[in-house]
Amino acid sequence: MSTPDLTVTDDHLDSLVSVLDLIRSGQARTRSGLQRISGHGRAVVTQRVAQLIECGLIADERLGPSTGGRAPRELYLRSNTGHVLVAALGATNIGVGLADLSGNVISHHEEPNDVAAGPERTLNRVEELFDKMLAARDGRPPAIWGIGVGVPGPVEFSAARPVSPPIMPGWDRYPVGQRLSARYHAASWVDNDVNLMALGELRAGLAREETDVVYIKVGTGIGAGLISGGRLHRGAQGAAGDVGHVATGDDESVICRCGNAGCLEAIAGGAAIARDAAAAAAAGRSVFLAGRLAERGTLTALDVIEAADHGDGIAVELLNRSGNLVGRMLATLVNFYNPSLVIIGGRVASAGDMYLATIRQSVYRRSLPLATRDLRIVRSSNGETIGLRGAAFVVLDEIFSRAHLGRWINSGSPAGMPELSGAN
Amino acid sequence: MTDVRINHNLRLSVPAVSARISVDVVASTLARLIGSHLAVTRADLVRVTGLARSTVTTGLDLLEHAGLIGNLGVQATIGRGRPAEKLGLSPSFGLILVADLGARFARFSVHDLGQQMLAYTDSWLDITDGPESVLNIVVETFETLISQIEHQRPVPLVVVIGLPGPVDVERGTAVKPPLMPGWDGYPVADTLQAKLGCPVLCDNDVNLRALGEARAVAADQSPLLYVKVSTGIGGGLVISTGELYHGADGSAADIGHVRVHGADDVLCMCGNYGCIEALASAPAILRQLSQLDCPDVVLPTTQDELTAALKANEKVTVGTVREAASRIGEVVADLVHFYNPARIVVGGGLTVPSDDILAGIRAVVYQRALPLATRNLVICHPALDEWSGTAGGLVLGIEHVLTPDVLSASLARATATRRSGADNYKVALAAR
Repeated sequence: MSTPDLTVTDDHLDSLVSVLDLIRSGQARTRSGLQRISGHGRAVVTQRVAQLIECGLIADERLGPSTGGRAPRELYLRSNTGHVLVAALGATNIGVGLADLSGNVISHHEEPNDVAAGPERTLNRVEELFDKMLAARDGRPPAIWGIGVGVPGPVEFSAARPVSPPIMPGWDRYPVGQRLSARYHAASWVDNDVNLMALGELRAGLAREETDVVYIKVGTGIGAGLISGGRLHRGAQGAAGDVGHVATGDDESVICRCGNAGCLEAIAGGAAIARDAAAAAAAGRSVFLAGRLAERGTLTALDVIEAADHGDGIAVELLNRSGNLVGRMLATLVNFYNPSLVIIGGRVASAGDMYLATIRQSVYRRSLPLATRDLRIVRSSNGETIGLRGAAFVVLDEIFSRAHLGRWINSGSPAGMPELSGAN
Repeated sequence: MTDVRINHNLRLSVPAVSARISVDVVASTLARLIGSHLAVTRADLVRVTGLARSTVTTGLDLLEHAGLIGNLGVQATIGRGRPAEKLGLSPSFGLILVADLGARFARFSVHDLGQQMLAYTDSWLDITDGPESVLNIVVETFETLISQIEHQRPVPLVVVIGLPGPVDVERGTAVKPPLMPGWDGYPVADTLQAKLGCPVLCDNDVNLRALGEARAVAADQSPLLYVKVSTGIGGGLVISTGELYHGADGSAADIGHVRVHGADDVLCMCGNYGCIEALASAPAILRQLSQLDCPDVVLPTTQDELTAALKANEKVTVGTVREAASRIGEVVADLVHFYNPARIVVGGGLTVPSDDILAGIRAVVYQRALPLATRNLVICHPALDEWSGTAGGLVLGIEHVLTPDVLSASLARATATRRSGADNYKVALAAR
């Protein structure tokens, strides 16, 4: 018996990827729509759609709206065919989730965790949570098509591991992707946490129609994710968007974790706000914060936000100062990068409209009029899961890419193929 | 005039291709590979593109037929076998005209598709004379240059013009340029197109320099940022794919109006306070020098004197320039944090007489930026010296001629010419 020819030729693969992309993104819902948008002929579209249906990736059982004549069959991705494990590691918490093939997070869990405790402890916990989440699914455990992880530091994307992360002792070059791939028998991709938030907004959030976008996260630390020409920009060493260490010139007495003086993060980040609030409370300058400090023994940025909501003067001043400094940095970034959209995310940014207004004021005052002509500055759409969604899309964009699709399409699933990612 | 001033082969951007796409796209890709000297034989083209030999042959036949490529001799092969034909873009296809306009100085050049410069001229030209007067000079200069060269087909294919201000690339106009009174919204591309009879591309002058540098050095040297320090301070950014980045409104990398800390009392030409241009450009340095009280030394009062003082290593001037350089360094360090470029090129008039600006910028960047981002970062003077802008214009021009749409028109024209030739022959036969 001769083995059937399973090779997928280049042009075949091109049309397959373009057809699948159009269905995945919802740009085309019918065969005629695919023909019109992709420019492929009727025969090619019919064949590629048949192949995708046969391997279970898409279905056409629903009828779409008629445009006169017989109602067309509507094509859609069978999102539940496979699942993606996603994790977003922050400085002080971890989020894990399970996403479907459309990038929807179908279950997720978040808990406090100190990333400085090292990779062993953190990833042990991530694996426990993944296992628990998989066990909680009804019936057969879902097939894992890939794993996506965000970490709060620079990442060597091709090798799926952090490189010289300033706030993650013990994580330098730790093979995060390789470890998770070995355990779940699936390919894995690791990226910077803010890059993934930017990607989540680009694919499924506020940045869907945009090409040049900046995402700023103001949490414990401060970071940025850059989208240029509709694609994530990671930089020559994966260090792009490391805006937490921009010099503010504001307070040279504060030494940052990176070793420099006066870094933005060391003055305006969540940890810095909490530090300054504790000092103000100890000096007796804020009744609210002193009370909270006595009650809990420690203060966080969230306490400061609450204090500001209660009209505490020191808390308002601390948040204003942070917003002002972030806005100044952003003004430089806007002059340099000329984005059409800036999205502000992270815990501190959830402080409310006042914080956003302070940032806006700084940016518009300090940027070139041409660069802010059509600029919008908005708050992130879904702070909690946007990082997890981004982690799902970094995996989906890779497994459905031209580089990888051809390697698994004939077997119907990339589950059990850790070799797809560079990590392995 | 045959001396080659741009002594690097400039790479053209080559989109990934596959078969079952239009033959124009295949032809465009093949032409760009040949034009970049990345693949110059049939065998190389098959290997690099991954296309079938027959597809490559069809594409090459079309290009040859349209007169776009020609045989440049043979390339010796290793081992046995027939020596391979070496292909190149045809120098006789037509001309690429590049005008690199600065605030006070302009360079005009004429090139062929094979990247050979056929003629050039420099002139002192004041951009503040306004668009009518300056564009008239541009047209006259090009006409003179073309009349001086010997060329089989002295027809301009495309004109590329660099302007010292923000440019709307789509519409071919300057947008609110601080140094160019009267140019805001003036239809530069349309005016030149009407007079020279070919498409005109406009871009910012520093963008062209960035592009020229990025294409002259290795591809892994992008993302590349060009910082120009002269009468003004400007920037140009080439992203990791080797393409220029313009941003949402075309003002990307216009770093002259980034604010620096602790200089809130210095008013800039743009109307804001504390811009880097108002602190560290040549006029700003001259102003600072004029305020110094140094009776023993004669300090420069013009840009030419400033250049001379830097060459002579006059210590008060050098000190002031070093101080300005470290302010620029602060801005560049921020940009390293934002974008993590692979190479930063420091050029412009003030960087030519001495290394003080480069050294000042390097000192601050290496101190401020994170070690990871500076691990392999190169901060250097331009590889093409003062020819970067011309090189960038040449790249844009050649790539325009080789875009699938323009190429398709050239191919159609060649086919029409041949057909009409055949028709004439038939008519002639019938008449006999």
